[in-house]
Amino acid sequence: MMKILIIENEYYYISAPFDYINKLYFKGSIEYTVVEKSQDIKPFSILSSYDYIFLDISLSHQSKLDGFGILNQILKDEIKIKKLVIMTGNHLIEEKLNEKGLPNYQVLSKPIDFNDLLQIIKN
Amino acid sequence: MSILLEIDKSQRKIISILFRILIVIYSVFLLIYINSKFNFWINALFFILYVTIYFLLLKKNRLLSIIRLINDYLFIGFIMYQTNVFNIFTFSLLFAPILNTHNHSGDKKCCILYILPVLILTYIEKSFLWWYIIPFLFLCLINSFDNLRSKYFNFQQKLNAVVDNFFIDDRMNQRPYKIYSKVIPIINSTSVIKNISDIICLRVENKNLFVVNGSSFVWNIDLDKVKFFKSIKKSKILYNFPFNINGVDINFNLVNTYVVNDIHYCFIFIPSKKESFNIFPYYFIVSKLLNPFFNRLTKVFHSDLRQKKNNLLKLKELENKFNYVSNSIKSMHFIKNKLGPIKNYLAMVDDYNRTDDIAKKDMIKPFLLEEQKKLVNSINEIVKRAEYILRKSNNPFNVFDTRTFGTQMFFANIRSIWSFYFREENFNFGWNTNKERVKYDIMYNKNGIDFVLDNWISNMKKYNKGTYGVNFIEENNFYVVEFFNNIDVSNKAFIDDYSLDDRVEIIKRSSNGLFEIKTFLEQMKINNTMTFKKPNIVLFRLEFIKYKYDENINN
Repeated sequence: MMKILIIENEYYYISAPFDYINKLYFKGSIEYTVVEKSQDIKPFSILSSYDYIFLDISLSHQSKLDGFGILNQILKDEIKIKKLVIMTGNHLIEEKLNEKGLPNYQVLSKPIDFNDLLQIIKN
Repeated sequence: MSILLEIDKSQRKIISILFRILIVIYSVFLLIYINSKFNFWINALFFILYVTIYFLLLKKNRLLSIIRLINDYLFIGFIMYQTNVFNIFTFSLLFAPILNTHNHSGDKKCCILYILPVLILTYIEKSFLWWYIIPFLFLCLINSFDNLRSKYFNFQQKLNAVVDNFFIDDRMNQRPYKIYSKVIPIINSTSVIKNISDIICLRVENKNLFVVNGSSFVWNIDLDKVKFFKSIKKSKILYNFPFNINGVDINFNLVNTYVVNDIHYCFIFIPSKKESFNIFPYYFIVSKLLNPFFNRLTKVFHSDLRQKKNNLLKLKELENKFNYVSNSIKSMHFIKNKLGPIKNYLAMVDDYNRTDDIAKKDMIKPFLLEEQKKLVNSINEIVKRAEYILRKSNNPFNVFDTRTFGTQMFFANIRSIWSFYFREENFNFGWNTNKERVKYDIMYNKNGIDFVLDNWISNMKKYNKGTYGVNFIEENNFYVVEFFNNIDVSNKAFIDDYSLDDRVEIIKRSSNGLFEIKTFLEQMKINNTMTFKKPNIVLFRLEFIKYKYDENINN
């Protein structure tokens, strides 16, 4: 069973491609966990147990950390994550990651195409 | 140095030469009138010697100016020795340098001026009489008044030069407090005022106290504000008002207050030693010495304050525009996110159509139905957000807000923008500017008209082929401004595009400047036409409706 964590406050708008590939291409073998706020990740070390983490950069107002804050926390706590993909509509995301001294993670551009999602997970 | 001081210095140099010429001419007259002792050639030699020594010593220098004076008196002594008569004619020559003292080009007056004539008299009379001193003492006292007056004038001019430089020195005019570092040494150079270590300027406006600036930085200031406000209303000069500045008690000080438009500017003069200003003779002199300059400085600071307030208003305007742009960017992100269901729906439809596997198709169908519902929601939200951006009232780049302006101000505005692009005006001016006639004002939005004028005139500069100018025409109901320039005829399509209302939505996608010009003019309700006049002239005509003249607005 593949475990995927999705950190996103508007999952309603992007759930379809995740559910679609799970049903049509992985025969329902993917277990999704969705959290809307950074403080819902308890304990933070649990991130290392997921095969994939899909992280939205902006998140909701109630979230203590935004996407960059979560990435910084991962580095600070030296959590070994398997694969992290940033979900964003911001075309300057790579520059922003460089500015903040963060590694270049793979980016899944919003609006999400299930084909792009499938490529990432299949690889 | 102040311009006035420089002019004064040049004048004194010229007068110095003229004075010597007069001395020579008068001496010739005396020798002829009284019959000289020596022959012509000896006199001629001394005349030439005198003039030559004078020109050799002409450079400005304290020592050389004393030697010039000695040279004058040696010559005068030589002439008087020949005449050997003391009457009004000879005494006039003896007193001439003293009478000329206020024209001296040397910086300081010298006691030799009064000693040398006494020595000449003593030598000629072969005896010294004490009464010789009295007339020279009398003249010395009279000249000392002039001396004081000159010192006062020079002092004020040196201070004024500091303010004059403030306006032209880029470093200073962004930092008005730098004036104090130049002013304090000038004030301290007078023997009259105690050594000042700091000057702090406060502003009292509507019963509020603000620190304007100071020769040293004021982090905090404590004082009895109520007592202070009462005191400065009662008197423009305060002595030893208790302040605490940056944690230090300042109990010895002088406060001079100046009022501009009901705003009180208070300058606190802090002495380097803890000594009061409120003792004789300071309270007669200090304020009189400082008032002319600090009055002027107050106006400079007041003008600087108004400038800063205007900048803040402009910043506020810019803030609204920035917020609008920022909201627009956020809206684009929002829209991009909401496009998810649409993109996904289309991808799933594509997947559905590509497969022949019925089982797969059956698995896809529920997803399509679910995504369709989300589509409707997404599209509604996108449309709502787009409407917000497009709504005119939200858009700060509109220019519907117009107000009345005078024709002079408008004309000056055109002239100012024109001069940025063209060296020659080429204005054909036909507005009636007779002061006795009935006057009119016009209406526009300042930012809007600036945009239109700048945009159009810059295009004239770019595309003209040598002919350009503006016709200012007055009609019964309009002031008309008609721009003309020749163009390359192959590029004249834009004139038709501009003129046809039926193509506005098309031209707005391609020619940004023209569309904005047309839009702004329509928003300001200014009639405008663009026409082509053969063989190759484009005419851009703006008609400003005449409104009843309002004497309250600044024309």
